Amino acid sequence: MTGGGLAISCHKLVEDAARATVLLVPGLMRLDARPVQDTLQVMTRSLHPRLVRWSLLNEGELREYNSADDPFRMTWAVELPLEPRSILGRVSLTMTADLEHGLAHFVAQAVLREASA
Amino acid sequence: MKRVALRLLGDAVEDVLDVLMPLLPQGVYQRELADGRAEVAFYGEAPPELDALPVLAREEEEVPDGREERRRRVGQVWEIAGRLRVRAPTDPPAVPGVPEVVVEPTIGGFGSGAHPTTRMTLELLLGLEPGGGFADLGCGGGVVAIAAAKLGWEPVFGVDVEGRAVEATRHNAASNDVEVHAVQADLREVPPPPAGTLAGNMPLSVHERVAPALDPMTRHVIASGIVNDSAAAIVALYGAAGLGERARRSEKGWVAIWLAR
Repeated sequence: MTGGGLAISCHKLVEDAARATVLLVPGLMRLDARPVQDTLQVMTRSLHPRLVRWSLLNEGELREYNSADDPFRMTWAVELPLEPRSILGRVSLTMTADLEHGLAHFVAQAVLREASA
Repeated sequence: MKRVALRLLGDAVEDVLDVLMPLLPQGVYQRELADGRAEVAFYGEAPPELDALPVLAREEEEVPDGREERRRRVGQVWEIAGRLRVRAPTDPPAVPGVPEVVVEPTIGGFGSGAHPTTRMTLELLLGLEPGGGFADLGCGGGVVAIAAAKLGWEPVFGVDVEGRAVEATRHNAASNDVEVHAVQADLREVPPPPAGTLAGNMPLSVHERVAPALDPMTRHVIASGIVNDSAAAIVALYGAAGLGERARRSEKGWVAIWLAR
């Protein structure tokens, strides 16, 4: 990334009622998702001794069938308060659902940088 | 396929998952148990890292492979106001005297009682005096219809636009030993069944069709399947049909409203 930083992206199929990690930044944070029928639980987890702060920026509309044309989206701003510079970033999660087959497809991305001086 | 089930203190779950989740890309199946404990289960070989984790008990068994089987074993238990219990066949039965609805967790979109709208509907239902006909509109797996039948309403109807939901309702009603007349119909096209009490877990657009088509004999409606922002519209819709709001429940942005003549 220009100016330094880290981008991580992953995608995963998750079975109905399973809780699976859809994004892992080792030593920093984890994002888990658990689709249950027409509902979705999302769990954010800090893995750093200095807690990562998660702030939900926006949340889409969760429908029974979020299709590729209309995926469900969530976005967070994240901050790890370190000295001398914090790490700032943005995490996004996108989901489409295949309720009939009990599967949800997640795409997650994290973009992290050191805060400017 | 091997199923590994771990019993943990509820407070230890997240720390254990910090270790396990990177090792289990397919994920885990987690549920709360009594006394502040929890179960975390997964499929496949137990990773060696497990030995160092604060696990109270560990069980391993060979089980059939497949998503349906994994979903079935998740189980579900919901207690509604201490007076009604919704559970899966794999969960332990309720104490004697508490009516319960036993529903097989299935893959698909049909209500298991897990959704806030279903639970809130059941909670409001428990506040009504059972008796006369009942119709569960948007019945899904039939949880509300079965509960109504068990609580004393008769006859009980279930209506859903999805054929699979109607099949699920019939199956679940039979396994709960109650009679529910489940029919497939689009309530945007046909009026709701004439019944003294209706529960409608449906989008606002369907409520908009149902409210003006209510039979005069319908005295109670539990309207759900809607978000808080739609509550005022629901009250206005059924108000125009002669019903007024009597009680409301709200959870996680969803709302359920009891309206009566």
